[in-house]
Amino acid sequence: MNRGFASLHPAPCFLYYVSLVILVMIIYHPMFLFLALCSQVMLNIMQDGGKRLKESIKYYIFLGFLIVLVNPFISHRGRTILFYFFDNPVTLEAVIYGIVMMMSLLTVLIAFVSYNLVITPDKFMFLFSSIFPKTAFICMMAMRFVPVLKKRSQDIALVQKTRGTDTSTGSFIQRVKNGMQIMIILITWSLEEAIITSRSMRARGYGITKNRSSYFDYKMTKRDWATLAVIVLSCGNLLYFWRQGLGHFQIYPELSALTLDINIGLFLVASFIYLAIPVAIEGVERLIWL
Amino acid sequence: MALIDIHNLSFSYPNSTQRALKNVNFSVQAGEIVVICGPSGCGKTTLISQLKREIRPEGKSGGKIFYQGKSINHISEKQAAREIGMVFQDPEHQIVLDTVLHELAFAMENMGYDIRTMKKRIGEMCNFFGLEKMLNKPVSELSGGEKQILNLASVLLLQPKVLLLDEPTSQLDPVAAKQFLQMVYRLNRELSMTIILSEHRLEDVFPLADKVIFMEKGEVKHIGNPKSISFDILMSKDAPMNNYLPSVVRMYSYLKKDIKEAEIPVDVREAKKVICDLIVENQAKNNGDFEKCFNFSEKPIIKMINVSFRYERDSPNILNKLSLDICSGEFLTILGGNGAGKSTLLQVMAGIKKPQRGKVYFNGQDILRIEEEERYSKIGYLAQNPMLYFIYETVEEELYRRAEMLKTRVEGINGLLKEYVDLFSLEPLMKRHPYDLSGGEKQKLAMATVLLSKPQVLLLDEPTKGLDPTFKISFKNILDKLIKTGITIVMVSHDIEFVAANASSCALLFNGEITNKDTPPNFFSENYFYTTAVNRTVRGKLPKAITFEDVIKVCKRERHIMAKSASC
Repeated sequence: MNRGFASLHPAPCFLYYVSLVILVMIIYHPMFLFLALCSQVMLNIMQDGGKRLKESIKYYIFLGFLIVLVNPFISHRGRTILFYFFDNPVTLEAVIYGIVMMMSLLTVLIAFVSYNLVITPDKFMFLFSSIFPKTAFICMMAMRFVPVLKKRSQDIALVQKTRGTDTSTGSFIQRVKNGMQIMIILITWSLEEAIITSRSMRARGYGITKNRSSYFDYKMTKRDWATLAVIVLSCGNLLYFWRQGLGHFQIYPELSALTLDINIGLFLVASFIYLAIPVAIEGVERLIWL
Repeated sequence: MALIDIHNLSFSYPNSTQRALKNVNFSVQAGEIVVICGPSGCGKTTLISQLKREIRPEGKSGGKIFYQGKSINHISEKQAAREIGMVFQDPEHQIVLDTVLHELAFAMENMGYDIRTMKKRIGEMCNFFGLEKMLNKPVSELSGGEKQILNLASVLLLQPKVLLLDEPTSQLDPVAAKQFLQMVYRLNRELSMTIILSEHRLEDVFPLADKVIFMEKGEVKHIGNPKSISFDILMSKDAPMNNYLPSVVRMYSYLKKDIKEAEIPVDVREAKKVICDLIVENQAKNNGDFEKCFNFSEKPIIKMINVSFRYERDSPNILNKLSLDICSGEFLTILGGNGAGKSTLLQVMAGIKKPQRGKVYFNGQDILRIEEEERYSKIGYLAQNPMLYFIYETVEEELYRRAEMLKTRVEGINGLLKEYVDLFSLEPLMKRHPYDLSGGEKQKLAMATVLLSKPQVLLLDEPTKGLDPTFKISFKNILDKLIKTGITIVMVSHDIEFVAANASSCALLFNGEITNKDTPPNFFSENYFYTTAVNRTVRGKLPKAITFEDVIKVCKRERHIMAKSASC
């Protein structure tokens, strides 16, 4: 994908996702988290019509509900007792805390779906190959091996099944044994083939020069610098407000009221600006095609 | 001055008394296509890797190799890597990185080229090879042929002067192999690139070659242009070597009494001119001549009815309402393009994969109802890659452990084991590690272990891929012996020449169904392109002759009749 937010230089995009994850983990204000969750869902929908999100959303929602349900039964902190469950108090604070945690977690998970759309492995490599060139290279080789090994182990399992080495039937110990046998074939075979790979690398001059160059090439344009500036400023602003206690919301030991005063107002405006950045960029892209 | 000069080159691997190369002498001019051929293990790969310094194996070598008049050991590392490019046999494992673009850039990154140069070259190369569409694809989604083209492109980006190709098409299907060779030929014609290529399937490379080198046991036996080397080999009456020549050359040598060097045909076009005059027309109408004798019952041993199969819910059907009857004692081959689903068909037939719709019957019984152990022992399945089968340290262990497992199921397993060791001539290999065997030997070992369960049906997935002609003949003899014991064989293959000479029937898998099932003469003679070189040559006179044995059979009888009438 190469439009909207994803058309930017990978550095500002990466910075945005990292900062977002940090912010939703440290700011426990329900309004902020709600806004963040909405912005990420919207971003996903604008990026690919929510296709990628649909694949996994049911697991995420299940996970979220689990937290909301389980937290009050484990944590008994808080003053406002709703009822007793087997002599254990279930508190309103713990319920609210569960909900806040759910929103924080869902935001991180959904942001990660969109992260995967924007920061493709290519861009990730670009970001890190200048800092850790060797590690980046090994990562790329490893990525090539994932589908290869998967295909190979399927092939081996299929053939070995016809000779009674089956991982889907038999006792647990027998299955583990059979699985090990498949692993042994996979590893010896792959080591054998790796010799060919190393020959092919040397044949193409790997290791001759000390300074390998890199083909990846993304240049920061004016637009990228501007976006980077907006991200840094709005994020900094939000962090400053948070340090000043503007976004503070007390849950334990006793729930504070959700008030709307000038401080909270300022804080929410700052949050809105920060959270709206990618959505706005996607929106502008849409306007071109109206 | 020759581009490459090899003087008295010899080489032996460590811990080996035999020399892998003995007194090799030849030179390569700039812009030539040189083809090195010979049986597997004759030293083709060893010779080629001597020319590529980075991958030269450890061992003792003698003699000299000159590159542009300088000893190859004295040119700089950079020059050696850049100017001598190499593509290996296996398309899969020489790829290093995950996507096409990364792989293309790999060699240039190693050389430390700047981004501008890399972009320019990749852009140009993608145009030449038509790679634009797959540039950002992961390598795992490419077909074998596309992978090999990618390997070629990646090497070419360094703009080499010499291209070394080590059996580059042996793992490809015929269409992809032809495409690859055409690409190589174009490089030679348009850029005058020097090409050294090793191959044992000469049919396709013969017309392209300027010089052919025939090796045996590490020595150069014959050297010359295609016509003169054919002449030499035909004159030397060396029967095993004859098998390496293209079938049109062999056919010519049988039909013509006094062979003339200039007349030897190297491709179908030339063969048509020379050979058609040698065949007398009248007897050609009798087509029944070419049907081979197979005695099989009418009762089907495997019956597939309306079988549909797909891998995922939303993926297209690989097999689509496919119906097929296979009679007991038949030797059926299934042909079809790459990715047509031939391997899948075999796996469904073996009861390893369950079709979404339709039924497979084995001896009238639903195959999936048969208990697994019995099913897999009655229907032997040999996958394309024999490496999937080997677990143990030695060939012996591989065989004995398998026999041990089957002891309760198969009567007289020890006798059977002995029989197969003899049949597959595995005796001298018993103490070796299965991984150290050659491709053909691995195939034999895997097949022997499959046969130990005494299957009634044997399913083979491209067993002749990458085998040299000598191995193919011994493989053919094994199959003949097995057929005599009454086993039914179903084989998936791309090897038209092998199929035409050996199968009892051929079926074409296309668009998920079997579109045509017939005896080889009928099957191939109706095809325009997808048929043997012999058939393409003689079809004007003998439309149903598909192997050169067919042609010889008819012509011998004709000579016999003519001789008789002359004596009267």
